Amino acid sequence: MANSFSDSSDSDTPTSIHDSASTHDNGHGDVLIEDSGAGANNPSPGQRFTRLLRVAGPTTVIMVLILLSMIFIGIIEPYLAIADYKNIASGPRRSAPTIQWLFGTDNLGRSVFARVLEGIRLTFLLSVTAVVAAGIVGSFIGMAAAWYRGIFDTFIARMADVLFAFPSLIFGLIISAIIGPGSFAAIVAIFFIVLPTMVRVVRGAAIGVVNRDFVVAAQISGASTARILFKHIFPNVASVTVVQTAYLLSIGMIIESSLSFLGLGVQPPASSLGALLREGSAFLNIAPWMVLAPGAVLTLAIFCVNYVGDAARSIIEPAQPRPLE
Amino acid sequence: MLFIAARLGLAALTIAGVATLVFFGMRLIPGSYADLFFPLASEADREAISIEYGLDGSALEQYILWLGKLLQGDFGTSLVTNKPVIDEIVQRLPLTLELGFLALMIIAFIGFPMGIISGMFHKKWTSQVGRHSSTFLMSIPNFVLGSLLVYAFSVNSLGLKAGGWAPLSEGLMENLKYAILPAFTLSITGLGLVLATARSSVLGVIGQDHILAAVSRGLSPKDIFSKHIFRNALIPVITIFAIVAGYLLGGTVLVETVFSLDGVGRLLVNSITRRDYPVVQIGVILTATAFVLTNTIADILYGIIDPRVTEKNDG
Amino acid sequence: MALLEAQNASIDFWAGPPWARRAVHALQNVDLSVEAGEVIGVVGESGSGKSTLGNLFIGRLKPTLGTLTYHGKPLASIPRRERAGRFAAVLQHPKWSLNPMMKVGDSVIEPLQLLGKAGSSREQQQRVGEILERVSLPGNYQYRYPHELSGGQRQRVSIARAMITKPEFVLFDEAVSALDVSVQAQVLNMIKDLQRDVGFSAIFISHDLAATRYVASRIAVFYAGKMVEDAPSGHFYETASQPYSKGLQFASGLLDNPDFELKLGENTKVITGCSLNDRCPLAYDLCKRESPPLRHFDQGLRVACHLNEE
Repeated sequence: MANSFSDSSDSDTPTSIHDSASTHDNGHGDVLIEDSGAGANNPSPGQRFTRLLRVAGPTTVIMVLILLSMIFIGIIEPYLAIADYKNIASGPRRSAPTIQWLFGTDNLGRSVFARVLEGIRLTFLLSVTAVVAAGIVGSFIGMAAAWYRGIFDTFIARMADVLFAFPSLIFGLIISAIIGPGSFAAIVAIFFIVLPTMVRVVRGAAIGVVNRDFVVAAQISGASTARILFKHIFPNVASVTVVQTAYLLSIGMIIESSLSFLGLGVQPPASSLGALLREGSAFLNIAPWMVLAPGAVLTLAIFCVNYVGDAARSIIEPAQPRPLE
Repeated sequence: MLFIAARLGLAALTIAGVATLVFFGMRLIPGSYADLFFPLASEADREAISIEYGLDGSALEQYILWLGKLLQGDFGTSLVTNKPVIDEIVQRLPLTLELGFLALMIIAFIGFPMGIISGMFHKKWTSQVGRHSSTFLMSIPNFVLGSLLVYAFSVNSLGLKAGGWAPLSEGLMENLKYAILPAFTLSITGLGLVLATARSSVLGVIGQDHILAAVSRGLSPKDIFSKHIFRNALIPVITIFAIVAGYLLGGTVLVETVFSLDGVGRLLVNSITRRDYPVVQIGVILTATAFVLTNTIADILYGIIDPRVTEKNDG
Repeated sequence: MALLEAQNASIDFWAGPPWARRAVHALQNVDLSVEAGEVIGVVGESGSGKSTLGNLFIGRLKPTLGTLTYHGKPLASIPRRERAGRFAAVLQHPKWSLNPMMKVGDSVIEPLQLLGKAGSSREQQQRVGEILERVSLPGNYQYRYPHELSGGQRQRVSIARAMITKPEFVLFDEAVSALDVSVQAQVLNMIKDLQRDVGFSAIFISHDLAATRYVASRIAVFYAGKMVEDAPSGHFYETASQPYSKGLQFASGLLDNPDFELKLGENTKVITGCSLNDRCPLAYDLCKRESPPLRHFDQGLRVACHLNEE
C-alpha cells in the first residue's frame, strides 16, 4: 500500500501505519499488479515514533502537549491544594486577576483559576465519556448496518436522519428535563447527539470492507458473523472510528458547555466551563474575568482537540488530495 | 423527477419521525403542566385542568388527536399565554430569520471568498492563516464569543448595540445596529467550516492535471478561476450547506440568550422549562422542517450539478 | 452422487433506485454438477454471471428458483458449522485477499481454528510454515503483514489458507487474473499440483481461456446468465461448437483463424430469441425468434445453439 500514494508530495508518509479502510477508494481499489512492494521494512517502535513526530510537525506536537497537560491537570486537580474550588471566601470577592489569584476571584471569593481547573476536568470527563460510549455503540450499529443491509440498514439510516434533523440543543434540553439536569443528563444528551454521525461514518467505512475478498474467504471458511465483525471488519474501520471520535469530542465539549451555560447541564457546586460562564455572565460588567477566563480556556481546549483531530486524520488517512507544496 | 419525489418522501418521513420523537419526549418529562403551575390545586381541579388543555387520556390517544389536528393545520394553543402557538412563533420569527439570513450573508461573502483566497495562495502565509483561523473559528462556542462581544461593546460600543433589538420598521440602520453583533456571533461556526471547505477544495483542484493543462494552454488566470477553481470550490460548499444550516438553526438558542433577544430559539428554551408542550412541539417540528428542506434542496441541487447522484442506488 | 449439483438454478437481483426496481437475471436455469475431484473451468465476459455462479456453489447466494445440492442435500439446509473447512475460496484481488491488519500466519491458520483443530501455538506455527513452503514461500513469512508481500505472494498465501483444511471444494474466482504472466504460470502449476495431491473439486472462473485450459477438465461457457456450452476440455479446445466459444477463443489468442469473429462488447440489453443474436455473425431468423435449448450430445457435451441442431 505504500506505493499507492507515493505520488503525493509527502515523501515521508509513514508506511508503518496500515492502509485504513477509508470510505473512498480513490481509484486505488483496483490496483492490479504490484510486485514491487515486497521489500520487508520493519522499523523499530522508536523509529516509528520519530517518524510520526516529523510527519505531525511541531505545532501538532505543541497542541498535543497542551491537551495532555489539560487532561493531566484534570486528573490530578482534586489532589491539588490550590484547587479547592468549593472553598468559599478564601479570597476577596470579585478581585481582579493578581499573582495570588491568577484568574481573579468570583462573587463568593473563590479562586476562578481553581474553578476553571475543575471546569476543564468536568468538561473533558463528561464529553470523553459520552463520545467514547457513542464511538463504541456507533461502531457496533454502523458495522451491523453495513453487514446486514436490507431493512435493518434502512431503519438505522432513517433513525439517524430523525436524530440529525432534531435541533440538537433542544434535544439536549428535553433530555435534561426528562432525567433531571446534571452530569448524567449531559452525557446522555451528548451521546445521542453524536451517535448518528458515528453510525454513518462507520457504516460508510464498513461498507467498503464487508465485500472484500478476505471477508468472503473467512465467511466461506465458516466464521461466525460476530467473528467476522470483530476480527475482520472492526480492525479495518478502527482508524476511521478513532479520527471521528476526535472530531466528535470537540462537538461533545461544545454541547456540554452549551447545556451548562443554559443551566441544564452540570449543577452547582460542581462546575464545568459552561456553568462558570453562566455564573459569570451575571457579573459581566463588574467582573469580566469570571467569563473571559473560562471562555478562553474552553476555546483553547476545543481548538487543541480540533487541531489534533485534523492532524490525526491527515496522518491516518493520507488518501485525501494534498496540495503541491 | 422520480428522484426529487423520492427525496421529498424521505424528507416527509423524517419530519414525521421528529414529530413523534418530540411528542413522546415531552410526555416523558416528569411533572405535569398542572403540577408546575397549580401546585396547590386539588386532585379534582388538576383533572379539570388536564381536560381543559387536552392533556387527559393516554399519551398515545393524545398523540393521535394531536397529529390529526396538526394535519388539519391546527397547531394548538400555548398553555402559558393561551394564544395560538402559531401566533407566538410568527411574532418572533422575523428576528430569528433576520439573524439567520445575515449570518448566511456573512458566511457567503466573507467565509467563502476567504477560503478561496487562502486556497489559491497556498504557498504563502495566507494559506496557514486560513487553515488555523478556520479551525479556530470552529472552536469558539458561540456563547463564548457572544459574551466576549457583549463585554467588549459595553466598554466601547462603536455605535453598535450588544443586546436588545430594533425591528426593521424602525429603519434599516437602526435595525442593523442591533443585529450585526448577534448575526456575526451566530455565523462563527459556519464561517469556519465554509472557509475550511472552500480552502481544501481549491487546494485539491489547483494541483490537478486539468488546471496544469489549462495553464499550459495559456488560458488566462481569470478564465481558469471562473471555469475551474470557482465552480470546483462551490460544489463541496453546497454539500456542507445542510451542516451550516444546522449550525445556524441550533445556534439561535444560545445567541438569543446571550444577547437577550426575544426570538424563536429562546421561546423554545423557555417553553421546555414551562412544560408548554404545544409550543415546543411545533417549534421543534418547524426547525426540523427547515433543516430537512435545506438538506433536501442541497441534495437536489447537487443531483442537478452532478447527474451521477440520481443514478446511484443507495439503500 | 455429485458433490455439488445445481438443478435449474436461477438467481435474480434487484437493481436500480427504490422507485424503479427491476429484476436482473444474473443466472438463468443452470444445470451443472461438480463431481468429486473434478475441476470445471467457467469462462465468459464480465457480466456473464460467472461470479454469481461461483457464489451459488460456495453457498453465499441462494438460488431464487431451482436447487443447489451438496451430497444430495440442499446446501442452504446444512448448518455453518458442518460446512466449515469443507469449502474454501481463492478470490480476485491480491490487495484485498488477506486481512491487512492480521499477520499472514494468523490468516492462514484461521480456517483450522474455526474447525477447532489448530492445536497449540507451536503446532500452528509448524503447520503454517509447512503449508507456506508447500506454496513456495519461506515459512517465516507467517510473521509478516500482507503489505510486506507482493501480489503474487499474497495470492500464494490465499491458496495456502484455502488448502489448510484439505477442503472438498474450492472456488477460484479470477484467482490469477491480477498477476503478471510469469507469476500466473507458477501459480497455475501450483494449483494443479495441489489438486492432484489434495484431490479437491473446484470451479475455476476466469476470462482467460489459456489459464482455464491448463487446470480444468471441463469447460462451461456463460453468456448473459445462461450456460451456452458445457464441454470436456479436450473437445472444447479442439472443436468448440458454440459460435460464442469460438469468439472467446479467438479473443484469447487460442484460435488463429476463426470461421467468424465476434464483435466483443458490453452485453446489457435484454433481447428476445437467442441472447447472442445481435452479436453473432451466423445468426438467422430462428435465432431472433427463439432461445435455443441446451442440447445433449456424446461425451457429456451440451450446447445451446440453433446451428448445432441438425
